[in-house]
Formats: sequence, structure tokens, C-alpha cells
Amino acid sequence: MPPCRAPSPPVRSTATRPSALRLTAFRRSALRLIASRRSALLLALLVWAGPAHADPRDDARRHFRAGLEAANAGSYREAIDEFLAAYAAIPHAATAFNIGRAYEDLREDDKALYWYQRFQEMEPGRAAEADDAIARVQARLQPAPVAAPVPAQDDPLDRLAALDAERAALAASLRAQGVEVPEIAPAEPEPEVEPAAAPDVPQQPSPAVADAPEEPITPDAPREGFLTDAYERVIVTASRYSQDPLDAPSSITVITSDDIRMSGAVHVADILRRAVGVDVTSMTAGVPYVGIRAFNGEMTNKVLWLLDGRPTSLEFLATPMPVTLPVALDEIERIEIIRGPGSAIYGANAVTGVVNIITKRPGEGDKAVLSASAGANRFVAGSAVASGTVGKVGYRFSAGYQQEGRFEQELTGIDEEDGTAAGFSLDQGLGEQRVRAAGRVDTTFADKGWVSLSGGWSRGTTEYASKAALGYFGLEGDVGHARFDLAYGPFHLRTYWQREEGYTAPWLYSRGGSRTPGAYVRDDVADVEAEGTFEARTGKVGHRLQVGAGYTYKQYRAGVRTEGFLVPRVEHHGKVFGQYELSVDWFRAMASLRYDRHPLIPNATTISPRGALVFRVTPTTAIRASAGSAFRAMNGLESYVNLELGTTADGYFVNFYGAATNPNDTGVPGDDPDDLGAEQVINAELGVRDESSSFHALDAAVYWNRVTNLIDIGSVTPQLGGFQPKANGYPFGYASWINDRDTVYDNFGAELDLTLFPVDGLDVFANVAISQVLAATPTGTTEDGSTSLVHANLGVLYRSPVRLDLSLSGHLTSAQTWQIPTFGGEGEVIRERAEIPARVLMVARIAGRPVLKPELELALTLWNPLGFLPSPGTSGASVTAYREHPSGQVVGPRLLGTAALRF
Amino acid sequence: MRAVLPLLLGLAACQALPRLAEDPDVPGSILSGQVLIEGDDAAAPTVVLLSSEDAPMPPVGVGLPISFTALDATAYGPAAGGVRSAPFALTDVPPGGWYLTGLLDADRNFHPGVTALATPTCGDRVGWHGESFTAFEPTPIGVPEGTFVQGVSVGPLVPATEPHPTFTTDATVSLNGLPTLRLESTAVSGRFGSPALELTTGAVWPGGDPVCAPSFAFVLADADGDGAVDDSPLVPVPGLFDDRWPRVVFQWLGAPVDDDGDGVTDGFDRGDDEDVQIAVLGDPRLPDGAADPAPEQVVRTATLDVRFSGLGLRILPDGEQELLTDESQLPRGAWGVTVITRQGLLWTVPNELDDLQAAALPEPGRTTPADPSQGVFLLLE
Repeated sequence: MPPCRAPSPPVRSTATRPSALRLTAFRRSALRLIASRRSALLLALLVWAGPAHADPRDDARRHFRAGLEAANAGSYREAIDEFLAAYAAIPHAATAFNIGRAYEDLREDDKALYWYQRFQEMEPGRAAEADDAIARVQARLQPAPVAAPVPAQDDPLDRLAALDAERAALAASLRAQGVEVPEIAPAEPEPEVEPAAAPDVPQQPSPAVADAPEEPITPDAPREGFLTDAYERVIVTASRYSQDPLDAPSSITVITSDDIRMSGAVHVADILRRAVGVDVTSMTAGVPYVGIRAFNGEMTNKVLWLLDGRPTSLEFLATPMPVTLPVALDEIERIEIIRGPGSAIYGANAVTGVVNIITKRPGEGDKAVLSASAGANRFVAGSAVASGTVGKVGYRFSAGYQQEGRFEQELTGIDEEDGTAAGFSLDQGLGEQRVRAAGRVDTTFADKGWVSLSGGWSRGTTEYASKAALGYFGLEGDVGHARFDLAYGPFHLRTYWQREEGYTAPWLYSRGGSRTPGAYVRDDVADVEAEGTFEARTGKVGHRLQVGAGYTYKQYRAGVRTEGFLVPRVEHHGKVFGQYELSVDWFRAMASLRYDRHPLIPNATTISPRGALVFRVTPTTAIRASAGSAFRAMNGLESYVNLELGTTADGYFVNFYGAATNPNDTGVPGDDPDDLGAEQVINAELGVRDESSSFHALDAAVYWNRVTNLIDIGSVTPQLGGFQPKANGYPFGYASWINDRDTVYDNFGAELDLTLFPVDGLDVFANVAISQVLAATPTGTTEDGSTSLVHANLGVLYRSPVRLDLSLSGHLTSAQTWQIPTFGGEGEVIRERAEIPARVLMVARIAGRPVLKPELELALTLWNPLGFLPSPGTSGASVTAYREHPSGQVVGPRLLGTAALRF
Repeated sequence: MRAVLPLLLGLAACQALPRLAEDPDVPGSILSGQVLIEGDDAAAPTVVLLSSEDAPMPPVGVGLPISFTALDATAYGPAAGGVRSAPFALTDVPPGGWYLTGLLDADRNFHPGVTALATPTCGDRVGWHGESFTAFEPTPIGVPEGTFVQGVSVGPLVPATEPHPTFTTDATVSLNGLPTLRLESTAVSGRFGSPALELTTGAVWPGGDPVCAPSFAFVLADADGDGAVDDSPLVPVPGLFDDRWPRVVFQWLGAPVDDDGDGVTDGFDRGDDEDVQIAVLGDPRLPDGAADPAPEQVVRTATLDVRFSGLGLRILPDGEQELLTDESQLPRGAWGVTVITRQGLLWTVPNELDDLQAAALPEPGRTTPADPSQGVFLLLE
């Protein structure tokens, strides 16, 4: 495999429109294909089907590999057919080169010359690599260095030229009738090919050409002279740099922009349902909670969410709420999901996995996208995205709005005018309402440098499910961020600032009662991080060293009353990390180590190591083994909460403290065994990934996680106290967050993930995950039934040639048994057993694209259609309605129509 | 299993967090409304207590409050039409019929978690949700499932003019046969400071209001004005028992247990009937065999003779109630005594003024010396 390359600038420098010469040559080449029946069909599809709007990467990849196989076998005509099909799906410089190479092998030097020149046009920085080939063909074509016109009447090209004229006339006639007959023009270049920089910036590299293999890799390696690195899947999250998934030390799933579009999902979290080992629990309509492998639940906090490589979550609550991100689904290039701990790479909170939302680079993709959706349950959404380039500067701006009704509404008769009791929102039925805006500008400088400036903001009201019996809360406010990146050569500097400011309170609360009052929250995070990546070779051994350091400033303000809010809590964090990778042909070894300095946690518990070995048993099959540890730090709520917590009796409250506000604590981290500390996980994993055919991708893994020191709500210590006017009630006692030091959780699991690409336009995904959690306490070991034993997903996505897309998926989650914590009569934490039966969530989407320029897509999505079925239940819930959590609302159906214009 | 504090009456249940709407498929409701006081009344912290129609709080019955809410004095708005109001709301209320009782703690000695303080005292304002603002008639309110019930009024809260029926009695008086016991009223002041709990006995009632002087207001009820004494609503069978105020209830505590053998009871053992509650009505009479007064004629008396009627209720954990009419159905052992006035003022012995019940108090516990006279109980042998 070619060595990994240095980061390329984020702004494409080679975007060109097809030249007339190229167009003519391509049509000649296309017409050549008429000679074969298959080619005729292919041509028809090219003429009538329009551009492959849906994700053609898999199709392009499959054709490209088929072309390499054919070339390796000496079947150059077949190879050309396959390369042309790949090029028609997504033009790529390597594909152009290979077409030229195949023509050269056939001694059709005029065509070979055209395609070599096309390669140079698409990749001017690598033009020199084609110089030798061009020199060869030109030598044979003397005196004419350029492809000569068609010479003789009986030349097959003459016949093809006549057909070419007929075709052009026919196409003109059809256009006059309003039928869209596309020009055979390249779409936007494949953004995934070039290994990119550190994953902090969504690197959408130019389609650079990898080196030719140094030696054939039998049996699948092509003949020498053909380029192999095109359309390959690239991930960035597993190791903070671009790499082939086969080389990744972790189990990883990639969800592409086309997957997102065809999923019909309205929330980023819902998109993840199709991924193996991912549990999505919708307790409310707007905030599904995402867990990976195990330990999902209300206000889940075991998965680290990244936006273009930088952490994003609401700092105080430290639970990811992707709904607050100022990112439209149309802006997402792909989502990478790492299953397994990731603290060695990303620091705190990557306990069971990492989700990295990677947005499209400015200037890539559609120039503009306007979309509007409306549907049942008051669903309304609108989005506008504009993207382009001005010289070397790329830009992308977006704005949007989304709202949705709650799945369930507890009470009827809410009177908006009544002043005695009210909900969080006067509109009790609307569970999510948000506006957002974002922008990003990138530019390059001095060949090896690039700069990026981005920011975003969202404002709205969101309902979320809080812990245990606290019920539903509302969060109203703003989330905003600004980010700056500067890179030059192997060095990268990233800095960002994020603020969240708002008000959170129970969704239904009484005025005149002492149930948990609302809290004003304002958190600021400012982070600066610098890293460098250095590569070297000693003979056949490749070395890669990545080191970095950073500082994070955090300020929390949270208070039920102004005095609490005005007192800021300031934290200073530091981080140092390093990763070394050694590679020898088919073998890679990686060692990572990271230290995070947290002011409230003893240092020894924030060191995160990871080691991994990857064996390429074949060029397309890899076995990986990894082990490491991770931790989850206390969030702002767990550190600084100091409020009166409502109880089931409105007149009683419980004083609830955090790690730094507990009056019984000295405030010195680690000096008391009862001090709140980080959650810990150690992990070992074995996996295999196979892409030995162009029609499938298979990933299998077995793993073990051991989790200790989980943070939970401690029992209430009863303590009497007099009436508290500000709290409108009497103290029942006090409680605080505690580490569960008595329970050791062992999570064993296995995952099998299969994706099939049997024919153009058809993707089938099927995966199953088995996960069992055993909880060992001093009194014995029991099974933690809150994690489903089985998750299975099955889906079919079909992008038909007649511009009609169909997708259908089913997501099975086996039964769960939850132990819901609540306070007993004397304030002790008791766990009430609650069972959730097995359930299947189905999603269906149909979309058509009646107009191509600009492209108009009309789609109808049906999400959880079983939720529409009537029921004799008093609450009106469906007979097949289900909850995904005992404390969650009955998951409702979604029926929505979407219209999208793409320019 | 031994239990120290299983009291049927009073607000002792609010020492535990109530469990309300537990079924996630049956959504709880919100009861919302206004607590009313007269315009010239001084505002003070106020609690609104929720009790079930099946087991209403005194004075309607002898049941326990299921939940309560509290509001500060500042919640009261300015007077309008001679009335001041403050908003309240009770959440997670299950469907059914509910009584609402209001208590304005004028003397700041109320606490829901201490039996000795979880009751109105003379000088407080008390009232109920009722059909009439003027009639002294608590009325239950029906609550549907999953509904926001608005506009519920409690009060107006009126001054509790009856004396606080604090009393003591002789210890270990046998209840065999048809025993009687003499209740002698005394004055007890209770104050919950911050954070200490101070409970003291004394002969002088704070404030010196002669209305609040320690005594019992004895009256035979004739609410329907027909000239005849009403039947007691606590007995489901008419004609068995007169409605006499104050109501006296004996409640079974269990078998006295002396763990350390020092002759002092350390607790009570209810055996297999830990969750069973048994209450027997007491039959109060004027002392020394004095004749009953005319219906609705109030007689102030410092002592009352109370007979153990033998009529009672056995309440099982599932809520099923069994009428007891024979003494042989009653368990042997220790019995506490509760006196309830017509305005819902209440007193129970044993209570936390003595160490026996104080041992169950959470931190900081009682910080004042014990009054053994408040730790007495009666024995049925």
C-alpha cells in the first residue's frame, strides 16, 4: 500500500469544467462501447438516467476494482468499460490515468494520450507522473502529438462518429421536448480519496493520486503502471489521521451523506440506528440518546461526540444533544462511528465510542441546497445551504429551522393564561423548536498551508428526559461556537470557543410548589490544541509519530437563583498526547498515550493508553487487535450542582450537591475515598474486516469492556430543616453524586456487519450485535438487562435509473429490563424493575427527482409506521406502540414530505 | 419486625416521601388553584395537604395526608374583595377523589416530618376545599387521569380557635374490660428552628390568648340540625356510635419490647402485621359521669374520660378495610392515643417529646430534654 500522504489543503485547487476536447473524446470513447451489448446498456443509462445523484462511491469503487482485475487479467477492453463506468459515476484522476494506461496497452495511443492529458488537467500537481507515459504514446503517434481526427470511412471511429451525430441530434430533440438528457460531464470530484490532515478539519482532499504499488500484491494487484488508490474509503476518526478502514485499529462504521439522505431521518442521532452496536433510545421526540455497545440511558454520557474532530456536547449537562448543533443534515459529508474507548486519542468521555460528524468542505458538493419538510405531529423544517469557491477561498453558509411535536403530552387542559401552574413552554405540545445558522471559510496559502474559520449558532427550546424519576425537562437557550484552524505542512493548530446559555427546568412544574426549580446555565469552553505529524522510513519500515498538547479553559455558571449563577466555576485543563505507528508491508503496530489534566480528578486516573496491531492477511482483509483504557470525567452538573431537588411530595425537597459543592467534602481531589472520581473502562478487542470483493464489505468483532466507578445519584441522608422560603418547602435531606465502587461491569459482545453492493444503485446492509453486561457486586453477579442482548438492522437502499429512490429498513432491539432508581420512603435509592419488550422500528422512504437542473427531489418518509395503528388504550397509544425506555414517552410515528432543490 | 414509629394518624406519613402516580401508563394530574385568607390576616408559610377521599384527614376522618405542597408568605398577593390569595399546585396526583386541607402556620411551629409539629395549633389558619366559602364543610374534588385541574380554591383559611389538644395520660393503664382513661390537657410548645428541633412542654401557651388555653372543647355534633346527635362518620354502620368531639382514636403500636432489659420500652414489635394498621374509636365523656350537653353545645373541660369502645378498623396493606366490633378481634399490646378537634387540630402520644419516638427522627434529632409524659402508651392485655 502506498504510504500515507501529508495533509492536503481543504480547498480544491483543481476543480475545472470539462474542456471541449475532453467532451469530444469522451463521447468517442463512449460510442466505442456501443459495440458491446453491455456497453449499449451502459450508454443508455448514461443518456437517460441522469447523474447518479445518490451516493455513487460504492458503484464507482466496484467498477474501479473490476477494472483493475480485468487489467490484471489482460482484458483491457473490459477494463476500459469498467473504468469508464467508474468515471461516469465519479470522475477521478486515477481513473483517467488507468483508462489511458489500458488504451496504451491496446496501442490506441490517441485515446491513451487524451486520458493521460485529462489526468494532468485534473491533478496538475502530479502532472509529472504522466510525463513518461505521454512521452511514450507521443513517440508512437509521431508526428501528431495530439489525437488525430478520424482518418478513414471504414474506420470504426467513422461509424461511431456518425452515431455520435445521430445521438447529438436525438438528444437535442429530446431536450426540446423537455426531457432532461444530461451532458456527460463530471460531477464534483470524489472527496474521499486523498488522505487528509488531522481530523479536526473535515478534510475533503483533492483527488490526489497515490503512488503506484512498489510491487504487485498478488493475486488482486493490477499490472504495474495502473494506479490503485481511487474511491477508497477513508476514515479519520480512529487514529486522528486519514487511513484506510482496513488499517484502522478500531471497529468503525461510516455513514455517508447518501445514507443520511436516504435514511429519512430528521435527527442526526436517528441516522445512527443503522450502525452495528449502536443503541438509540428516544425518550422524547427531539433528543434521542445514543449509546454504543452498552450503558445507554437517560442523559447518556458514555459516547464522545465530535464535530469535525472537536468535542461537542452541552458542557454543564455533558450529554450530547446533537439537535443543538448548527449543522444541517445536508452539510454532513459523513459520520464516522468508532466502537470502543477512545480516550487515548480524544481524552475524556470517549468511554464506549466516538461519533464524529464530518461536514462537507466549503466549495464541495452542491452549490446550494434549499429544502423544506412538513409532516405529522407538527413537524416543520427548512434549510438553506450555500457553498462555493472564490479563487482559493472556499465558503459554506447555512441556516435552518426545525420543529416537532412531543411524542406524548401528559396533561390535557393546560391553560396558557393560568398563572398558578404552567409547563416549561406555554406550547405544551411542541417538544422541539430551533433555528440555526453556520458558516465556514477556508483558504490555502504557500502551497502547504491552509486556514479555516468557522462558526455556528442555534437557538431554541428542546425537551429532554432527565435522570431517573426527575422526568422531562426543557432547555431553552443558545448554543454557539467559533473555530479557527491553521495548518502548515505537518503542523496543525486548532482553537475553538463554545458557549451554551439558557434555562433548564422541569417540563411541567408548579408555581407554588417546591418541585425542582429551573436553573440558569451559562458555560464557556475555550480550547487550543497544537499537534505535529512526522513520518519517516527506514528501509521497508514506516514510522509515523503524532504528538500534541493543548489547554482548555472551562467556566460554568449555573444557579437556581442569581447568587448561584453569578458565581463562576473555573477549570483549567491540560492535555498531552502522542501516537506512534510502525508499519511494515502487511503489519502495523500502534501505541497511543494521552494524559488529561482535570482539576477535580487525581492525575493517575486520567492517563489513557492504547495499543493496537493490524495484520493485512491479504490486501483486502485485515485482522486487528487492540486494548486500552478510557475515562469519563465529571461533568459540570456532577461537579457543581447545588440545588433543591424536588421529590414526589411537592413540599419536600432534597439538597443535592456536586463534587465541588458538597459541604461535607474538603474539595481536595482524591484525599477522601468518598470523593467523586472519574468513571473508568478498560477494553480489549479483536476484529476482522474483509473487502475482498467489490460487492461487499464485512466487519466482525468481539470485545470485552470492564467499567467501574460509574457515577450515579446517591441515597438521601434524611435531615430535618425548617421551612425554606426560597425553595418553597421543607428539606427532606441531602444527597450527592457518588461513584458506585461496589459494582464491576463486564460487557462482552460480538458484532457482525455486512454491506452488499450487488448491482449499481443497490445497497443492502445487515448487521447484528450481541452485547451482555454482567454486574458483579459483593453479593453476587447479575445480568444488567438495561442493555439489549441483540441489536439487528436490515436495510435496502435502491437508487433506480429512473430517478426514483427507495429505501426500507428495519431495526430490531431485544427486550430490556431496567432498574429505575428512585427514592424510597426514607430517601434511600431503590431500583424499581421495569421491562421493555422487544421492538422493531421500521423506516420507509420513497423519493423522486423529476427535475434535474436544478435538481428537485420530492420525498415521502414514513418512520415508525406502526405508531399510527389505533389502540383501545385510554391514552390513545398504538397497540404496537412501544417505549424505548421505561421513563420515556411512547415513540410516535413520523410521516413527512420533503422537497429539496439542489443547484 | 420491630417498628418504632408506625402511627396511623397525624402527619407522620410525611416523614416518608409519598409514592403517588406510580403507573407510567396512568399519568398523574396537577391540582392547581389558590389558597385564600382574609384580607387583614398576616401572611405566613402555608401548606396544602392532600388526602384521599377513602381515608380523609381530620377532621373528616382519621386518615393520612398523601402529599403536600408548601408556599411562602410572600406568595400571597394584595387583598382583593377582602381576600388575599396565593397560588399552589400539587403534581403527580393519581385519579380519584381528594381532600385538600390548608394550614397557614402563623406561629411558625409546623413541620411535616415531626408528629408533634405536623398539626395545626391554636392561632394557625385552617381551611379546606369546600363547596362553600363560608360553611365548614370539606368537600372532596374529583381528579381525572392526566389532567390539569385548575381553579381549585382552598379556604378561606380561618383561625383555629380551638385549643391545641395537647394532653398526657397515665402510663400503663389497662384497657381490659371497659377501661377508661383520663386525658388531661396540657400545653406544649413546639418550634422548629434551623436546624435544631426544639420541643418543649410548658404550662403557658405562647401568646397568652385565652382562647388557646389548654382545654378540650367537648361537643356532640349535630351538623344537620335535626336536634339529634349525628352518627359518627368513622363507623360505617349507622346507630352504632355518636359523633363526639374531640374524636379520640386508639392505634395499635405492637408489643412493647425492652431489648436491654432496663425496664424501659425500646420499641414495638408488630410481628407479621408490620403493614397492618388498626384503629379503635374512643368514646369521650365529660369527667365524673357528667351528663352530655345538648347537641352543638360546647363545653370546655380540662379532662376527658375516654372509654375504649371496641369499634374499629383494620386496614390491610392493599387498602382493604375490615370493621372490628368485638374486643376479641383486637391485638394485645401497646396502643397510642390521638385526639382530634373539630377544626382538625390533633395530638398524639407517644410522640417525639419523649426519647422513644425521638429515636426515629433524622438529623439533627431533638435537641431539648425529653418529656417522659409524652412517651406514654396504653396496654391491652
